[in-house]
This record gives sequence, structure tokens and C-alpha cells, in this order.
Amino acid sequence: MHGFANPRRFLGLAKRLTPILLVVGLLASTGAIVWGLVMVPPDRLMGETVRIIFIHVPTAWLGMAGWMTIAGSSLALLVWRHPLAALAARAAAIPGAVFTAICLATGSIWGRPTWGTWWVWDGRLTSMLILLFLYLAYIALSQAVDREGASSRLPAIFGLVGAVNIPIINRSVVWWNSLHQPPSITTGGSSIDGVFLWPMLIAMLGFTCLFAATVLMNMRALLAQAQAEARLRRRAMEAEPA
Amino acid sequence: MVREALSQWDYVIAAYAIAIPAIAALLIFSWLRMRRAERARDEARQKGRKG
Repeated sequence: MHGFANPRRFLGLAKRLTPILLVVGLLASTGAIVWGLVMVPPDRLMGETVRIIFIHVPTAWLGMAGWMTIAGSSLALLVWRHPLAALAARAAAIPGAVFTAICLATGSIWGRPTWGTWWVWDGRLTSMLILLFLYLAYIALSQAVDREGASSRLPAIFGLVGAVNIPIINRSVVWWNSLHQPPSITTGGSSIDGVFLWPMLIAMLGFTCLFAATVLMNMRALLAQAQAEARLRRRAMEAEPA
Repeated sequence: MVREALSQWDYVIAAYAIAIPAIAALLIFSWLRMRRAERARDEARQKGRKG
């Protein structure tokens, strides 16, 4: 992992990976959505609204994966002082927040015809809403730390503490009574019929590639900003009279 | 009897109408931000060489 601590080496890899991830992500997600909207039959119980699964489940997965990226990068920063870890954590925050917000919005829209309500304060929905608030707090904190020149350890600690919410989201439908259905995909297999499962898995792959491409683009932007600022500071110091 | 005013497809369209533009905006915003930052870095580098 420390092999990519060198910004030049990381940039070389990121420049190659970004377009590949974008193309694969766009093709897979577009294909899965068209498959889900046009070719998949309506569900026996949920009818046509089952088609929301192809956008809701991938965004829910990426909302949680985004925070795991923040937590993993925070650990790498605090334990190994990996120079790119703080950038990776910051780069994952906005995409993670966007995917969490989309998950909440599409879930609410799906809930109205399925459950008869837009929102209910149960374990799954509330813990997902808390995840969105955690993202917003993390973004505000990391921007404040950047502006004030404070230690990047503070958002890293916040990122690790916030990771406690991830297993709560995952287990919420098991621990508490909920309108939300129990886990459909477990290590023991899937309770989703193959006709829905395959386009959903391809949508998850496609949106994961798009998420990874967004994180890489954000990392490249943050790295370029840091390099430009360092260069300007060096020039300012050289220009100062002795 | 209470009848749902919207058809099931209206909910599907609403969900995709929120999700797709939001993801497209995220991708475009990230791309433009990266391009702008890398251009600014390259300009700073070139100015340094000239100076």
C-alpha cells in the first residue's frame, strides 16, 4: 500500500484507472437500468415498483461503502501515516453523501406504494438518515480543518467513530421490528429471484465503478490543489528578501 | 375506499428522475473540479519554470 504513497506513482495509476472505471461504470449501470426497466417482469407482490430496487440497493451499498472508505483511510492515516489516506477519506465523503441521500429519497418513494407511508422512524431508515448527517458533519469538519490548518487527525478520529453506525445499519432489520424487509442477500445465499438479482448485481458493479471513478477524480483534484499551493508558497518564500 | 392517485410507474419514474440527474451531476462536478485543479497546478508549474 505504501508503494502508492508516492504521489507521482499514484497519479500515474489514477490517470489510467479513471477513464476505465468511468466507461465500465457507465456501460454496466446504463445496461442494468435498461434491463431492469424494460425487460424485467413486475413482481408478484410489489408490481412495477420493484424496478426501484436497481437504483435503491446500489446506492444503499455505496452509502455504506463510502463510509467504510473513510474509516479505512482514517485508520491508514492514524496508524501508518499514509500520506494519501487523508485525501482518500475526503474524496469519498461527497460521493458517499450523495449516494446516501439518493438511497433515502428512492427508499421513501418506494415506501409510499409498498408500505403506505413515505417515512417511518424505524431502525433501518433512522440509522441511514444518521449516516447522511455523519457525512455532512465529516465534510464540514474536514473543510474547517483544511481552512484553519489544523491536524487531519481530527476528521480521521471522527471517521473511525462514525463507522460504528455501519453494523447498526446492517443489523437494524434483524435487531428491531421494521417495515423494511430482512437482509435479502446473506452469506447463505439470496432470497431474491434470479430475474431481479442479476440486473441488480450488474447495477451494483456499475455504480461501484462510478463511485470509484468519482473518488479518484476527487483525489486527483485535492492532490493537484495541494501541489499548486505548495509551489506558490515556495515561490513566495524565494521572492522574500533575506 | 381510498384510492392511490398515482400509478406504480409514477413512483418508478420519480425515483429514477431523482437518482440519475444526481449521479450525473456528481460525475460532472467531480470531473470539472479535477480538470480545473490540474490545470491550475500545471500553470503554477510552468510559471515556476519561467520565473
